[in-house]
Amino acid sequence: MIISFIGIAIALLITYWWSNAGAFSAFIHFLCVVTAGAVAFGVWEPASYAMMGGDAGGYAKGLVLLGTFVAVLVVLRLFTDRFIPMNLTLPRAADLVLGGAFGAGSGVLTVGILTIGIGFVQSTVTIFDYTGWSRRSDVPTAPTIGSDDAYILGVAEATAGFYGYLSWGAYTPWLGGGTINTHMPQLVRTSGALYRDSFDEGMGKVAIPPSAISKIELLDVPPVPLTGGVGAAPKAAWAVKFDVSQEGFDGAGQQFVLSASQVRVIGDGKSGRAMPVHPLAWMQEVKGVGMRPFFFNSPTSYATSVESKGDGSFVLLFPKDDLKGQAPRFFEIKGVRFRLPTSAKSAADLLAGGAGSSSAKQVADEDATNINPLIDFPDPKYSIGSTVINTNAAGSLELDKDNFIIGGEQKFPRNTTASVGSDLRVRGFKVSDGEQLLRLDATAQSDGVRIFPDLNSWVRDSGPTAQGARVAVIDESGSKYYAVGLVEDDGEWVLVKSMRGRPLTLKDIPIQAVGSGRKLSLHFRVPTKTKIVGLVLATSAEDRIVNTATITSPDEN
Amino acid sequence: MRRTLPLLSLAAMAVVLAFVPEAAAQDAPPQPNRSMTGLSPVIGYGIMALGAAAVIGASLMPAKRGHQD
Repeated sequence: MIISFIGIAIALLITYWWSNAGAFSAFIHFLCVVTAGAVAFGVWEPASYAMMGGDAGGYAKGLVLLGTFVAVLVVLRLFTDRFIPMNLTLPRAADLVLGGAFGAGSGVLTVGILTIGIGFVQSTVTIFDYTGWSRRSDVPTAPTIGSDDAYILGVAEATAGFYGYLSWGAYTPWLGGGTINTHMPQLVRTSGALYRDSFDEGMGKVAIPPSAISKIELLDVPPVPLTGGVGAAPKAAWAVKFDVSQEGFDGAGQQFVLSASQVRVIGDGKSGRAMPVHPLAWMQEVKGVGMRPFFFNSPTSYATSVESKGDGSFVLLFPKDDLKGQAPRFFEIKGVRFRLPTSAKSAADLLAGGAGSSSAKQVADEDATNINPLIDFPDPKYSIGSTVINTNAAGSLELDKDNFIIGGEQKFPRNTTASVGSDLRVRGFKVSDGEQLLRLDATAQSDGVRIFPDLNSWVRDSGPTAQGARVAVIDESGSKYYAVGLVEDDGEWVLVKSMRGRPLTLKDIPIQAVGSGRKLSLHFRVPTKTKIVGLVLATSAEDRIVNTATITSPDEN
Repeated sequence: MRRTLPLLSLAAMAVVLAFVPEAAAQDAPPQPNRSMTGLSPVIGYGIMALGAAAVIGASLMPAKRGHQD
């Protein structure tokens, strides 16, 4: 009620303001608002996608929508005030009434865009008392999405409907041919608050870099039970299979977490209005079990990747009926929309081996050497090793509340004897329960890791492909665990670098020459009691095993 | 030397879903790691407040339009 009250009060204030300014000025301002909103809706997705991989990813869509709207509105207002300097004289009553009408139009559109815009800003699911559409415990049927019927939703719906109409008509984009109704259906539901309805009351990641999602497949699934109830009626479904890489994970790369509200399939919109549908069930890997089906029949149901593992593969199942006969066209996940393949694979094709797996080919380097002696599992509290860092001098390193490193990089003077109290001491790279920190001595030396050009002909000859390869340790089941950070000690300075969830690639490692004397350690998060069998350089085409190992991570300390 | 991992067949997964719904229904999905570092809502609130202020400010820019006569 508070947010609705504030929003409606702002709309009334704008109405009053422009009623007093007169009909002609109110009309000019209304045209500016309409145009600014249309431009903002037109450019916000492509512009925000470019920002979604960075630290501002969760704020990108809201920032771009509101920023573009405000910028264009101000420019248009300055332009019109400069080049239309004269007023149109009307009787006072007409001035007030017409000015109020145009002011009300401007107010509704402005507050509507503001409501939609703030809905795309990472924050709590509920803002003061406003939630809008979200997963709710009082909605018994999967995917448990319902509304709190906040009044402000009506203003936002009016705005989305207005721009949906415009984008179908006079304001149709030149490129792509899409409209709000075909590409962003149910925009208000998404903004309030399905986009923000992530794990931990909205504190999970709401945005994902487009590059984190790959290998999207569309599958035509025969009737299967899509709800968890015993004896549930089978329903035909579209299944979307995809891979997600660590750069799209929550918790600075610790785990991928997805709620039903954060993903949907959008129909082809052949009637001009696309139907969106959220998943009712999904399949994911469960450690030690393999792929298992689950149901989005509770607000506490989340698709999750196996902890520590550096990538994940999921299958989401969407009921065909809810698309109302439309063909699936887009797959939208955490704010990013992907075009689905135009033809769906069938289960029969898959049974016959017609579909590939997400697993990359493994290539074992014949020169691979064993690196067991180079691996240890230190206490994460003391894993940096070459220097003692005070939190007050941590520079650009990002720390969590327990002083574990979760992002950033900084060089420190080498110092292993400084006296720093335990409360102020920077710890190692963050690991979670059920994980161990694997530290690999990656110093460039002849019998060491074979990830440097001087030691590996493939790295030397493959150029940019090799430099973009992600560095991971791999377990006996083929699961990869990417390096989360590095520590380089040149004898005087110690560089501490966290990847902040992004997999470490070769080009992230400072140049290491054999015999330089620089000590380099790579740090990985691996599950407890996991047998590590090698070090790999992972590209989109293959996982190249450059070193072997036969070492098992210990149980919890 | 090249070797390929056993492929994960979606069909096998679909078959699992189709034939053991009761068993599947009894499995609770793995819960997200609660010790993960969550994001702070403060920055989001700040952006919302700034965005609202900017939008209101732009909407209330006075029109200094003179009379024609």
